[in-house]
Amino acid sequence: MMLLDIHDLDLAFGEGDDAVRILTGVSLVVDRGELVGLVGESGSGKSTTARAALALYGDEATIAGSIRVDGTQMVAADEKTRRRVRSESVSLVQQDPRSALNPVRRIGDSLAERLIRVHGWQRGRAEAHIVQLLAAVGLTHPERRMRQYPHELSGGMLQRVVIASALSTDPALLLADEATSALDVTTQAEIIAIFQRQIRERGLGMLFITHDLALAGAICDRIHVLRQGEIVETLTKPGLFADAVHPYTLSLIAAAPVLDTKEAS
Amino acid sequence: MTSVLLPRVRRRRRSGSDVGFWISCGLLALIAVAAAFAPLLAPYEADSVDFGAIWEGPSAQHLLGTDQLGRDLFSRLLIGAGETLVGPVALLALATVLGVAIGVLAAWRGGWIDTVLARVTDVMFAFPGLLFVVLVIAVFGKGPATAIVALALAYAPVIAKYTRSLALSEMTRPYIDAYRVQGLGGMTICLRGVIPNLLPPLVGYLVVLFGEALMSLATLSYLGFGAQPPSSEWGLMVQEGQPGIIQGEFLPTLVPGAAIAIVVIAVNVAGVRVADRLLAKG
Repeated sequence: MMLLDIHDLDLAFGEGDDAVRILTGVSLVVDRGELVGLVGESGSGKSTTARAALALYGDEATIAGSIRVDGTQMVAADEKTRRRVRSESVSLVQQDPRSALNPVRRIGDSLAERLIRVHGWQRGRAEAHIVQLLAAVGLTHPERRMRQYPHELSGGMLQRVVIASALSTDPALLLADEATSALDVTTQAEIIAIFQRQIRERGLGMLFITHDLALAGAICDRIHVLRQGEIVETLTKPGLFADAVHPYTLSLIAAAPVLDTKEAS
Repeated sequence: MTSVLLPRVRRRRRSGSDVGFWISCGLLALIAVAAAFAPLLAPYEADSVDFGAIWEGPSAQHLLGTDQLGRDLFSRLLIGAGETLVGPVALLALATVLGVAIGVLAAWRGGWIDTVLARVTDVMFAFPGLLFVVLVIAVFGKGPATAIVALALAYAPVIAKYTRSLALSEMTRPYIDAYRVQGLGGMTICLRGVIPNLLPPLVGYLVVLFGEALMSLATLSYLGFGAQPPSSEWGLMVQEGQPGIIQGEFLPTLVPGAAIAIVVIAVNVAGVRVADRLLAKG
């Protein structure tokens, strides 16, 4: 059983003649211990795919096809089932960590809240667990971070907090929606190292959504190229970009700016 | 050119409004303290009648003169301040609880709940507030408590509408999605996520509404629907002092009337400034 199994997913906003089609026939799977890339330009439907997988859309979207998260069908599931899957099986890391945390609450409270309210932990146990996680994602002085507010931390530190939050309930699947795009290159590498360790050590499955082809090519086991809501090409290891044949993929590769010192001189 | 001129203009305007802001704050603090310690500060009882001193002008014995029953206006003003100032606070507290609940519910649930609540608030908007309040008082009888509840019902839709618009934009922020992905329920998300983040702009708005609420309550008392004699609520004092005007005795109406005007103006001057700061933060 796959952790994430999206099959022939169609998604449109609006109804009838006004309907705007966002996704057409998207199919992809993520298995345990796998890092799957979903790349494409802005507006290609990457984030929509992730949000649909979490059933975050209400009546505004018309969805056809099948989305199974850890074996549970999310399309047309009732709210109780969706909440159970979201709280137990899957986590989401978003692009902007600053807006992904409630600005008026302390970091410790934000992170402990779900463990206490959704999973029924004791406060002491939840806080000890979070301190341990914050240290595991490379934050120094985790006890002090717990008492700080989001605006007191830098973007890179906050993204570590968000990742710690995402890992706190030991999910099987992690959706990373441009999770490293807002970070500088050094921090990006550190965050990706955290991801890779979690994948290796805990058998976490991960859907890595990015517009950064080079980054996806460097870390992913498999890459789906999304264009205007359709997967136009799927690249697998070991060839990845070397095997790309679709003209859109080739144009994306060609569009990446390259700093070639030899050519410049 | 604008970029060169703008900072200077801004600085001047800011320092100018600072003076008004601090004067208003000082006045309000003074009035609040006076209201809190009124029984200790007032030289006379609010209802101590002295027929030997009717309609007297200001003097050492009666700082602001006396009314048609020889009651000391300064004492009445001080003792009535409590009721006059606490009334709007109670009114706004009640209206805020109702309005925020309605506004957040409408924004969170959307769909038919939103539509129904929007229509109900629209009807309340179209209906003149004072007329509605008089209707409620006609049904439930006059008195300060009824006046406060009736006005709270009239103010709730205004606050609900404002809250709804704030909540709608707050709900598009990613941390709300993050809450949902964590499996938290709508009630928890609204109480712990949405509402605390709405407070700064909401409090700013309420400060501005305070002056209006005070005027409305005083108006009801003036019309005889709110505070009842022997209270010395300021609106009621204006009404009771009215017969004096024909006799050429304007102090019994002028004193409470001016007090109302001073408080409302001070609250607005200070409130607009506070609201600006809170809105800029939120």
